[in-house]
Amino acid sequence: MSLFIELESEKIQRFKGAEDTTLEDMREDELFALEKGYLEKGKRYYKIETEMNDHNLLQKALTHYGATVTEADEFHVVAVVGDIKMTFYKEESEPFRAFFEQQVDVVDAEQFVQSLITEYLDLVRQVTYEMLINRAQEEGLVLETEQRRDKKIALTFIVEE
Amino acid sequence: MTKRVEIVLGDDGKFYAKTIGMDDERCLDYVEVLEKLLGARSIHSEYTEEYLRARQKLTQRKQLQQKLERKGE
Repeated sequence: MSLFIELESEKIQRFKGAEDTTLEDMREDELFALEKGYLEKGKRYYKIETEMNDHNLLQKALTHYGATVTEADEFHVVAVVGDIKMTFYKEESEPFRAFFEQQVDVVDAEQFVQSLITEYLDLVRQVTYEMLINRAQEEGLVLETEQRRDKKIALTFIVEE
Repeated sequence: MTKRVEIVLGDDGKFYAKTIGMDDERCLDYVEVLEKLLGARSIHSEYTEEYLRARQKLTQRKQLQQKLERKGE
């Protein structure tokens, strides 16, 4: 007898209604980030929504991708790749948005962000695996088997009575 | 039957788990346990067909037993 459970990492957050984002919304986000001092005044930016909401993992993913992180806190991360500067900014309960200056090619920026998200998801899986292995015993779960296929990890635990 | 929990860590930030050999509502406790262990929120859960079939058999067996008891009175 069994129960099937689907879960989603708390380090991931799907942007609600991202497809309905209007130009007004974009300008509002840009202004908010400007007010916070995350973006430079006098420059124009465009934004790309992401699913990432953990600033530590975002910084790691950026570093793995060859970017240099120049500023970072819980709500914003600034990084540089070559002569391209990117600013990631989030509000309390939302995932990060990436801001690029308007002269940066949109296709290149979107490809970079997509690759970054893939790297971020790899890190999420790795961190979750370590957390699970380290804490399973406390919950009476003993690892029986582990299989890795592609990027998926399948684990079977025996429940201690 | 040995009780087991199978967990799959996906490549998209999603995780899938299945409890095996738990013949009562205790398997529901694992929703919370897994949320804690995986740092995740559950977005969907359902009993498997195997569980539902077993529950149905159990209910039928109870009903039959009650009928037989009533006949015997």
